[in-house]
Amino acid sequence: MLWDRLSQLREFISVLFCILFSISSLIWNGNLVVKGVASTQTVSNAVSSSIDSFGSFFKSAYNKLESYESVRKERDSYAKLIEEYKVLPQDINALRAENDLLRKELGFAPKIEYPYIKAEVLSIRLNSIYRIIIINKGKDAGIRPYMPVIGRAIDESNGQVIQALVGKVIAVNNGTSVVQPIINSNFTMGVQIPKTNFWATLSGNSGRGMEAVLNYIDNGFIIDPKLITGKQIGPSLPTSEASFIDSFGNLGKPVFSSSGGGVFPAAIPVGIIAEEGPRSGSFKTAYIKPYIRFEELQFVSVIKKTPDKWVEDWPEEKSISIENPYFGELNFPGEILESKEAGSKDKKPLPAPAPQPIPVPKKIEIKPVNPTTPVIPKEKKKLSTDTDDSDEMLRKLEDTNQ
Amino acid sequence: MILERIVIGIGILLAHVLNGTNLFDIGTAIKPDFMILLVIFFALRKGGMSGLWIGFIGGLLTDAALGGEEGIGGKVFYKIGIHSLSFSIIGYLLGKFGRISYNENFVSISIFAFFLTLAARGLTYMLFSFFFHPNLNYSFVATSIYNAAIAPLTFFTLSWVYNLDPTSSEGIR
Repeated sequence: MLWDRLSQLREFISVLFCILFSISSLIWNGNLVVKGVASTQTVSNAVSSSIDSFGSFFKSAYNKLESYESVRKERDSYAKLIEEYKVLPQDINALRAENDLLRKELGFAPKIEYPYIKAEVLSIRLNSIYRIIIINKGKDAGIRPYMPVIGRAIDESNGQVIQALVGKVIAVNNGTSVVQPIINSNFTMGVQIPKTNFWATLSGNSGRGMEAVLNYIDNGFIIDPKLITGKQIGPSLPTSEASFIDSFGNLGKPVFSSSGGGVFPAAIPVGIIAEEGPRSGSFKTAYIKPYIRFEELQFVSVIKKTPDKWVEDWPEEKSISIENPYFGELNFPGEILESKEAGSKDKKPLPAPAPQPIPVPKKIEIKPVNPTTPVIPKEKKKLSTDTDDSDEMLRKLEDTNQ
Repeated sequence: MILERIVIGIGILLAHVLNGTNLFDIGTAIKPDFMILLVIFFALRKGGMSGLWIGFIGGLLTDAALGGEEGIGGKVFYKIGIHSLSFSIIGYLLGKFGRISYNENFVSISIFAFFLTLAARGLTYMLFSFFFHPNLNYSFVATSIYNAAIAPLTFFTLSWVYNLDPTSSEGIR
């Protein structure tokens, strides 16, 4: 009787089960069924990797046949390079010794070189809702979560082979690890350009496929990727002006990891700025093209660096999150007047400002600067710039005091 | 009956494995989604219940492939449930209501594949945004176009493998 009733409701029960199971798995994340389903991933990754290897064997065989002549030329050039490289170790040792000596002289911290583990890429899932890369080394090889991952890439500006940032390890099994690439929507890190005061945060959630986005770039930076080429754009500038632009236009150069987040070591090449992005409140943004070509990645190196101690001990209540990066527009002296003039150009000319009586301060008290003094609100700042230039104000104050 | 289910299961596993390979990549990581094509095929040929269950199981496997992520205190967070929900809903609704207006030919296969892939990915995106965060990098149109392009060949192959002709009205439930 009950069975007959259930059979009649089979369709309804099936739909209800599928919906409830999915939603409960999303809400109650760590239940046993979820873990069981997730564990099937290891097997499928191994099979996918085998198919990839099988496919790439034919692909590479075809490519080799097609470009046999070019391969022979490449081989000859590499043979020459190897001869040159044979001399290099001596130079490297001398330079390393000199570098150590100079670091000691200048009082710099000794350069830390981390060991690394080479791993093969099993699967690259860039088309899914959560982009990941699976590698064939895991807990057994000493890989731990949050270890940085780098890979071989070509710096297109000079044609050199570099070790650029791929991402970081986010989960580890015994024999495999999940890598979160820098183009993953949940990826963030600190970046910088050496020798400049440029710092920004990189986010993988750029909305631009294979590019990442730099957030919180100071307003003062000019973003011009054409500066990489070094070609003159437009009329030539006087020397002083050109140097001014160069100092602010450093954004056109490659960006590197900053080590500020405590996860990545400093100075790992990340990518090159491709374009200026939309403004985010009081900050600029920029799109960055990673050095790594993720779709062609075959091998990576996991740097055996665990997060810095302070990252693990950092109390939750001290974390700062900027919900709205809008701090108000900066109003420089004269800008407000200009904008007012521009706005009322069509109507009628501005009347000459009537002389305002300036209140004479009865008693001037000089107080020591308190570091906890709150920032002066925007309105008060405006008053000072609305009335006149600072020089003129000083002059008026002097007159009244006399 | 059991043998039929085993063969369908093998098909789901094959679609899952193919989704994980880079063999069908075009340009910068534009890939087809074989799993949704399989769901569409069975929903159209066998009805809503087949669409629902194949979508659910295929979706679970796709979710498993998203991997875990270790958080604070070593706790691993998974994303199981996103694709299983979106694929099962699309499969069920298509099998239940979409078959009436479906008249199979090369053009209709491509059109159905395009719009249903778009719908499945749209639903997946919405669920991901609701439970996690909006993923601005998620590709909608490129994958849908790719799926539309390969759908006629895929349907032909699957019809041959599973011996399910468009004219056969097996299991309209």
